Amino acid sequence: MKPVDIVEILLVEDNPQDAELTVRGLRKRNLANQLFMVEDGAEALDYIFGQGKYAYRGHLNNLKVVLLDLKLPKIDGLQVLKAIKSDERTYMIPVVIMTSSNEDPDIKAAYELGANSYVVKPVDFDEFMVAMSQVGLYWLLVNQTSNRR
Amino acid sequence: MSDEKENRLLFLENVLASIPDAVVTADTQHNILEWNLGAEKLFGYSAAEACGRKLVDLITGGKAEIIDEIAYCIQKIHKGESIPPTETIRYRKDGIPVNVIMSVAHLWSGDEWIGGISVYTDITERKRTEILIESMNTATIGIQKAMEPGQIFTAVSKELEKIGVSCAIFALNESKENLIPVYLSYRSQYIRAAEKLTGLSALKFAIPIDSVETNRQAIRERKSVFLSDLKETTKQALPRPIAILADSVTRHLRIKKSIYAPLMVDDDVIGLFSVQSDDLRESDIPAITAFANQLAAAWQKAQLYEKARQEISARIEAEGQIRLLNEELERRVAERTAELQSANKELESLAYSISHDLRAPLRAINGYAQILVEDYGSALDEEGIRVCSVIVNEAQRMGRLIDALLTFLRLGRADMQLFSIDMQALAQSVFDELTIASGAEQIDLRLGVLPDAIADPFLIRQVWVNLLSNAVKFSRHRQPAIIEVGSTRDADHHTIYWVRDNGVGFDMQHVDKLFGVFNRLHSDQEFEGTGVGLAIVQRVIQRHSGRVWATGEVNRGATFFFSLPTKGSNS
Repeated sequence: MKPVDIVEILLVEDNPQDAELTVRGLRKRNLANQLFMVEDGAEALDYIFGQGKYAYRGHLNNLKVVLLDLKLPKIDGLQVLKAIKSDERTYMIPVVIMTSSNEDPDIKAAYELGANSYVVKPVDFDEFMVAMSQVGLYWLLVNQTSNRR
Repeated sequence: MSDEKENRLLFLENVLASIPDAVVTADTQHNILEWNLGAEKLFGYSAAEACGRKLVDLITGGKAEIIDEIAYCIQKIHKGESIPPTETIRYRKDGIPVNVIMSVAHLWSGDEWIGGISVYTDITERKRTEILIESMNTATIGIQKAMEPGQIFTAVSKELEKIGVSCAIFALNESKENLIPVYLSYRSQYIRAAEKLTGLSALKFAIPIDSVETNRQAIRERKSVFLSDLKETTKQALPRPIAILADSVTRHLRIKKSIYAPLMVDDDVIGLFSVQSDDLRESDIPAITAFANQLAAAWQKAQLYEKARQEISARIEAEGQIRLLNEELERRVAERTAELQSANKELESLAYSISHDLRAPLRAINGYAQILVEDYGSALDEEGIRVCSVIVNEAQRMGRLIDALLTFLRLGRADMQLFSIDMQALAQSVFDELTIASGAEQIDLRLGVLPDAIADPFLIRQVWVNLLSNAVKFSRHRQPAIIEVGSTRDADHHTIYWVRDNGVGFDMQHVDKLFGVFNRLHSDQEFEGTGVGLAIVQRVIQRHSGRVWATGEVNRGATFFFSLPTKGSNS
């Protein structure tokens, strides 16, 4: 198996601390090996659609889940979400929105665009880990189940 | 002929001559035999001209209907019938018609019919007076129907002009020293021509009462005055422009005679009425005076009516202005509302930014402190680990504070949807949820009868959650803890709900701090909390047009009240 095929989780996160904590949480549940991380919306789209510097990936797309922060440089999270959900090659990929607050009005917008779930990044580190890894695991499982059918 | 007979004939001739009526005799062939002095005066023919000719050739003016009438009379006479006094018209030699009462009888000589005698009484003057009076009667009906002074003047002038009489109406000004022309009917083309000539308006000049003798008498002495030559007036001390106008008008119209009558209501002179015509008599004064009284009454009525109408329209105008002011006010309110809405939007984005930007570093502080404990715990002594846990706890507490603040902001601006709420069931269910974990056994809940409320269910639920959780929290050291919930109705159409506990209470001197954001009367060690719960309660109740307040005593419990408008009252 080539390394590119291992990637099942794409983490789109511009805050390095949040990113590090997320990766640490996923690693604890042995999911970090399958994780790829990008720091802005433009790079996320390049990766997902196999374009730009990720052209080598071609149309091959075995992503199981995208963990998507909404506030991103260049292209924001909602636009990334819209691109994923309006392209027939990618619309099946589950997208989990990560947000800082329940009060975020973008949550509603994200659901309208087809987001599959959202998770509020809790201040409590443990809660954060649990929420992140559970969301990641859940979508990995769901996706694998549907792939088998 | 005997002397006696001669004398008698002479006597009869004298009688005929002295009768003011026209007396005419004719033979059976209708040739005129006698034509008295009265006939000469009435018809303008001398006896010499008339005798021997026929009536039908002299006094019909050539009018077919009169010729026919005479033929009809002759026919009746021949049948032996006489003509009783009849009103009719005959024409003078100069062609002017005269109104007459005519009667015709047979002349007999013994049993022999020898001719006829006709007598004509001149009623032209009577007729003229009748027409004048009838015209004024018609005008009276018109002015009684009129609602405005202008309509009254037009009604008067319209009728009088029909019979060749002009009129003028003057108002007496407030000082009672001047007459102001308000209506001049002198056939309008002359007035207009005169105004054009002089460049003046006939209706603009006040005429001092005493400058014209007739006016003076009419106004000061309150009697109607006859003037036989109008030119006399213009020679008097009229203001020059008026004199020019009056002179021009009278000359063009060849008006000579005039009657001036005061316009009086009760004993008050309000103006002057004057009529002008070639054909007025001093004897017309009573009729004109009577009419002036009618005119005065109608005019005053119209003035009162007009005044009332002006007051009404002034009021309508004022109402219009009030409406404009209201619209302006509404516009400003709308503007302010828009400003507030935009301020709210800013607040919302601020809240969002707080949630996002403040929470991210908190997550990092918390997370990295935990990493320190997990990965480097062996390198830290007990104190180092305690310091790390303080960092974690405080970061978490700040997270809760931010969340509470966001909740407070959100509840303040959430759209309200009003429903009827079973408050008793709601309070019970909130209490059950709050105590399901800690156990309700140690708490004696005394839930009274609570009337339904009209409110937003989500927001009111939050009020119960905050008040009941406070009651539970602050009474948890009591054995038993007693929580009472009840309601009363106040005089102001509000229902007051209250929650009372037997907990730690508070000092009334701090009561004003209770409902402030982040204001706490207890440390986190004593009683955990964010200091936002009661601020949320206040905010929600205020949005429902209600009020919150509290009473308490240290160590003897606290009571929190909130009021909500009842059904049917304005909110």
